[in-house]
Amino acid sequence: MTGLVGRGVARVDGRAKVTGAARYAADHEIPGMLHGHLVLSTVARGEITELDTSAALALPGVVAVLTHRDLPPLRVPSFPYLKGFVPMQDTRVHHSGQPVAHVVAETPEQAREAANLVRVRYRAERPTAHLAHALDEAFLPPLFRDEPNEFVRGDAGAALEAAAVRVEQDYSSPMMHHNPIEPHSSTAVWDGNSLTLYESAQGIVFTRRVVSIAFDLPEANIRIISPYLGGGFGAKGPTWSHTLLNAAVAREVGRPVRVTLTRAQMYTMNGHRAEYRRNLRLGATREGRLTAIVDTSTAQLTRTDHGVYNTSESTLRLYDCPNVHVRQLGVRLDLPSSSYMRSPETTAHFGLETALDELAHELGVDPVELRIRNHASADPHSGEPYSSKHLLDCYRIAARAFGWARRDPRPGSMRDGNVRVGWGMATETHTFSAIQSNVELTVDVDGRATLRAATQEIGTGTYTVITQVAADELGMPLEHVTTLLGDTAYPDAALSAASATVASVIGPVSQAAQDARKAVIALAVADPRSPLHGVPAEDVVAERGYLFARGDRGRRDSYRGALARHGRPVIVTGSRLNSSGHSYGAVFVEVRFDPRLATLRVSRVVTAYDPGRVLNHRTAHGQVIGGVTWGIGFALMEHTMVDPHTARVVNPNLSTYLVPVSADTPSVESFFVDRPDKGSTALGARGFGETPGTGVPAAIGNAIFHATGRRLRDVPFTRDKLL
Amino acid sequence: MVVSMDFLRPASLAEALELKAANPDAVPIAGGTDVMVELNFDKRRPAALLDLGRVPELATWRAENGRVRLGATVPYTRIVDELGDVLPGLAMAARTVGSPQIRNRAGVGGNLGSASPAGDAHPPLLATGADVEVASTRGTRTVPIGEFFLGPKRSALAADELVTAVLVPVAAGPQQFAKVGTRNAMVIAVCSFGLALDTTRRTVGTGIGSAGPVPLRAAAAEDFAAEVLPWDEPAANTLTDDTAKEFGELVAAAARPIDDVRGSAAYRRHALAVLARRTLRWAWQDVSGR
Ligand SMILES: Cc1cc2nc3c(=O)[nH]c(=O)nc-3n(C[C@H](O)[C@H](O)[C@H](O)COP(=O)(O)OP(=O)(O)OC[C@H]3O[C@@H](n4cnc5c(N)ncnc54)[C@H](O)[C@@H]3O)c2cc1C
Repeated sequence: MTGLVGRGVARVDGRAKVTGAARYAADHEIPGMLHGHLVLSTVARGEITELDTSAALALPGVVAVLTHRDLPPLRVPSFPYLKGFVPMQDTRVHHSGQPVAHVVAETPEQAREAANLVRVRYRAERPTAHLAHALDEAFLPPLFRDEPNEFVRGDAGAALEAAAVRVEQDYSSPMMHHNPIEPHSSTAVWDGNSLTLYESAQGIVFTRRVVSIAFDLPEANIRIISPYLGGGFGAKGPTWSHTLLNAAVAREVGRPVRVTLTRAQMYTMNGHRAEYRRNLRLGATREGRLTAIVDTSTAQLTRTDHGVYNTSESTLRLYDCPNVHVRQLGVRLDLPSSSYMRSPETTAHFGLETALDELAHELGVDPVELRIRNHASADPHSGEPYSSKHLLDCYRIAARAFGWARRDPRPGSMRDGNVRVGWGMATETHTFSAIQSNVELTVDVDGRATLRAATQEIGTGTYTVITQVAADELGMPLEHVTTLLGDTAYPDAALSAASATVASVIGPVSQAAQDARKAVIALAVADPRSPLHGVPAEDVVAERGYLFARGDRGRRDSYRGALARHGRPVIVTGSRLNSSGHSYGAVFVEVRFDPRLATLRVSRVVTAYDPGRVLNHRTAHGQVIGGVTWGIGFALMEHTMVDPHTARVVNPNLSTYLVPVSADTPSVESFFVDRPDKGSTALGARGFGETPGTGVPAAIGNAIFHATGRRLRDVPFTRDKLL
Repeated sequence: MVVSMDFLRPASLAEALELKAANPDAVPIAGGTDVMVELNFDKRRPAALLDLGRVPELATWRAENGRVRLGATVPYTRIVDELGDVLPGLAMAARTVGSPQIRNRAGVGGNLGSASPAGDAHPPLLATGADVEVASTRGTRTVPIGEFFLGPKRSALAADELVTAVLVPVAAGPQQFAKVGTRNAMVIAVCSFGLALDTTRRTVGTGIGSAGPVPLRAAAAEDFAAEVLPWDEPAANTLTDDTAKEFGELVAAAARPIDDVRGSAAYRRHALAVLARRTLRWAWQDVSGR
């Protein structure tokens, strides 16, 4: 142990990324490769009646145009394939922007041009595109991933009736899209009955499973390669249809084929945050103790699947309320499947944290104090104690750094010249998962270590943190450890989603590194040629690549020496399953509102978190910056607009789908309690990535209320709503 | 169908004009920050691009007879760095365009070539009464900026002509530019406003962006302000609330906005009144500070 863990070391892959050496999915050069381009449906509901590919086929360079008439049957895979159907298997159209043909040509430009020439006629039916147009069809969807959509604790109805104080309001948010900067890309290379995919995937092991089901191939015949991702945010967690179709097409044409989605195609091909409405009823005592929460949400579903991705986890588990009734309803619309999008619990949490602010205002209780009064010291739903939870510290640390004590609670009371200043806060929380993970660590004859695992780097710092932990346990300098990820040839490991990576992978990494250190020390002390020969193994320490006898540092060997003498590598494996849980924090926000122009700026953000032990302060702070920026986008800008008549996305590009730019994002202060969670096998670290940001939309709305006295419950809070 | 495109690369202005005369359909490309977006979105497929990037005459500026002759391809970054003193309104507007990358490539010639009502260079050019210099093999002419814009994305430029420069009077008093967007940078204006005071001649110039089919002047507001501003006692407190308010209302009245995804017509009018009031106050403060 050399104190590497926790340090904000720079990204080990930083140089490769800024110099262009890092190979992303569409960067791999494959000899003989063709380029595919998808033709997407232009109606949202109906049947294909005519498909004319002759003009496209006549274009120079075009090798094939495949449609439902040409593709072999593909089985519809289970989770994490989220669609209820595989496109291009029949004539049915389930949403606008659904693949109906796949053009393959020698160059991407030829494929794209030919795709424009494919003529498709439809018998179109009238689509339904918005929740508001079908609310009377809302229903309680059946189990999804073995989880129900209704939860009951105590008797919320009766408790609400009896409550001294009640808050009842509706909260809503529109459809939103992930928009990672790297578009999805898939390159299929067949060799007989074996398939290699160069893929932009957040979960290569999951992708392998989906492909194996669709093609009825053994997993051993499939290799997925994804060493770098240009962001994912959930858009690349599930496996989407372009991957399956492209692999099927590559098999038909007998050559490797790459398909890369366009930005516009990314608005119908890879999921989104569902349009969402929510009715919340809170009951409380005059002192502000919650006695009842009745939470009825309605999310957009499709006619072919019923996944609810924006669950009411925080209603159920964040506050100590004895009576809770959650119902997560859905409405079937003629739109693409929704999916998980960064911090999916934000969608519901926005309403809860806004409602609490409304309750605090109604009662005249400080919003922080209200949350402290409802703090849960054991899981309110299961009754189980937490292995560790320092949320109360987070409130205290962030409130003090922010200067919350100086807040005048009266709305509109704080001004700076013409500008109204508002201060708001919210609790931040998100679930993290834990997935059985395995790693292999090799100490080679040159005394350097290589770690392999079939997890992947989504951009959060996975390479770095794994390398840090391994180097620390081995007692090697960081540069002596190489981490290889993103290849299913390595041992199965977690997907980079659900805040699961650190929680799942770090345990096996640290175990393997410890075992490797012990194995090499055992070699040294048993070897008469080693200066450490005969020293008890437990008295040997490893530092900076050297092995010392404790108390007699003159007796020194090294990994390099021990392995050179051994003459062959030392290979160990690590394997562990951690448990899932929640990370917590608090966010305090200042907004500045110009009432004449209705312009709003988020001018200050202070946060504090309890993610268990912090493995790298720099990458953890990076997650906070990212999460807060996402929260600002959710609150103020992001909005996929869908035409109600055609059910088409009308702003499928980054010039009209606005996300925050640097000028919209203040510098973000973050504090960490940084105490290991003794329940975690990941050196006391919990999953954390998706916790920051979950409270930001509500905190901004609460700050707007404080600045203006206006309560906004429908995001994004655009200028028309503020004027 | 084989898709091909000629890329014409003149090395002098004379050559550029000849190529344009011979290929009137060739699309000029300066910074390319509008052209490349249109090509990428397949909104147009010109038979030829006429690259202005190697035409030295277009890439310089110089002072001449109390005006700055600003070449069509001088990028915004240079306008910000080099012309802040003499063309403060245009430099302020330039600073709000896009991002550093966009400002390194793009310039006023392209902004005029696109003739979008939202172009940020237009309000300061209107407020200062600039002229647009255009040329063809037939000769050179100047078009007063107020006559340059004919409709959304339509200008007085003939098919064989290029914008060679804008002739912008050197500031004779404080200038201001203000813009409202749906976020704080990298954004097309919801509405914008340029203001130029001439303290010698005691005149006021205005330019309204993104609130009409073309960039507009608010002539009634200009006349009103020129008349009532207390030019003889330029102290901050001599600009009355009533004057500022009336000025704002006259500016709003001159706008001809529509509802679109970025903002409603009503909001644009309202915001223009606020921007006009504010910029007048800021400018007047500068007068008194001189
Ligand atoms: C991300 C992004 C952000 C942007 N933000 C802003 C903004 O904030 N404000 C703003 O006003 N604009 C903005 N724009 C639009 C664009 O940058 C401006 O219109 C810019 O001034 C165009 O200049 P250019 O040199 O790049 O023109 P080009 O793209 O090269 O040309 C634009 C048009 O003018 C024609 N043209 C160019 N030069 C001449 C000439 N000398 N004679 C005749 N015709 C000519 C071209 O044929 C074309 O039609 C943005 C664009 C992008 C991509």
